[in-house]
Amino acid sequence: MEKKQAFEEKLTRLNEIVEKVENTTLSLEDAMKLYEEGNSLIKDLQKSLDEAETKIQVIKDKQ
Amino acid sequence: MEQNKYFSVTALNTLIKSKIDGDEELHNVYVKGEISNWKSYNSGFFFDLVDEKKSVIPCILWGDNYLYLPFEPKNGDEVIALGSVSVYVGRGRYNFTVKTLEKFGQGAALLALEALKKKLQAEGLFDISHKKPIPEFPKSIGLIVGDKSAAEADLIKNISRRWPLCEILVFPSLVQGKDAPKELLKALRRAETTEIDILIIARGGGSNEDLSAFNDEALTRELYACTIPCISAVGHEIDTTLIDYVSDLRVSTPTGAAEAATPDQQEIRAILLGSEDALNTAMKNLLSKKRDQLNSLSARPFFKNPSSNYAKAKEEVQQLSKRLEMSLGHLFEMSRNQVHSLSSRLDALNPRNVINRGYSMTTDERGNIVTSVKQIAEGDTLKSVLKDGTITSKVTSKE
Repeated sequence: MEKKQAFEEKLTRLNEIVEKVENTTLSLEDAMKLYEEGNSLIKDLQKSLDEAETKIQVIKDKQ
Repeated sequence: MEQNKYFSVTALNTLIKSKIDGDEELHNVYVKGEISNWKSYNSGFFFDLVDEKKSVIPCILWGDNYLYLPFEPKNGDEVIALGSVSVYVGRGRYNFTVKTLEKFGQGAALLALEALKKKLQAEGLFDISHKKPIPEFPKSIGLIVGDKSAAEADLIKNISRRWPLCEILVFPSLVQGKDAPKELLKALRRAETTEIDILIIARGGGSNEDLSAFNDEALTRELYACTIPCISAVGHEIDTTLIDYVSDLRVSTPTGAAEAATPDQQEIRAILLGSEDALNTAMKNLLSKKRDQLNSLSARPFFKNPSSNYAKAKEEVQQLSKRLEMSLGHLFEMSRNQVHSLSSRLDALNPRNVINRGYSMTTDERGNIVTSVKQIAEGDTLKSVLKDGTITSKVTSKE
């Protein structure tokens, strides 16, 4: 469950990073750090999509 | 027979017309019957309404009113017609001028539904302000659908294709028939006990009667109170049930519901690739900017030829010291000249020089220079200083 929660958070963080790296003046060091963080987020997110498999559960009335 | 004892045909027909026109009971009345002999003319439609006793009334429906009918009437339709009785004086015939037609059986149900809808609307159940936003990245979606229905299959297929990261909980229910409202309510209550992010209530198209379970008041109220964001997809585009009004989002098909409930993984993957590109480009740009900065710095004279920065200063120092030297020299020169002139002036004043030129200087015994005869008396000893020595003499006389 928390892995799925993390998807949205990671995607939000990734967007922040791209925005920052594209639109602000950063020191080379800070830019490198963000670049690495962004790339590892992309890998994580792609991986969770690749590995995802829909779980289906049927919930009937207890009778 | 006397003339005033009979009517003309026209007068009689006119009298009948005025009686009928004046009778409120024959205006705006509902008549139930089956349509037969449907004929269309430029101005409108002529047809008969027939009942089970084969009694017939001729009807006229003018073209303007036809445009507003909720369905397309045809022979054999059981209908309820709203209209007024009128008389055609020229033919001595009466007919029923129809304002509107409804298919029989729907009228009452539709009116009741309309009344319920108005009531719920007045209570605020359909207010936009009450609508909850649909989460963008659901981790769990609940489906209230007919067991093994096409809607269920469609939803599962589309949700797993678009967003396999979420779990699907199916709450099967009857979706038509008299038990359907109760079943749907139970399924909704079951769904409310789970931790789903979005609830979808879906059913394929059907007749108004088929969809009537989704107009149930208790179900509508329960859904209004439900805290889970809900998408409804019941029937086709034109069918709107009460739960469509109360749900947070209404779509017309199960596929539409799946699309509204989930992000599309293809789009997200494209966003990820786009982000990767953006990061690479931004990094490349930053690096080349830094490189340019470095290049332009190292191209500056300071780094290119560091000694040139000192050469100027060195020259300045040299010039200054030269000037200093020169002014010092000048000062010395000036002082030397001054000393020289002073010393020659001093020289000129030296009495010794006068003596050297052949003069002598006379002093008394105590060494005081004698400049007047009054200073001395006869018998005093005087000293005369000459160029090459001193003479001591005695005053014998003075004048």
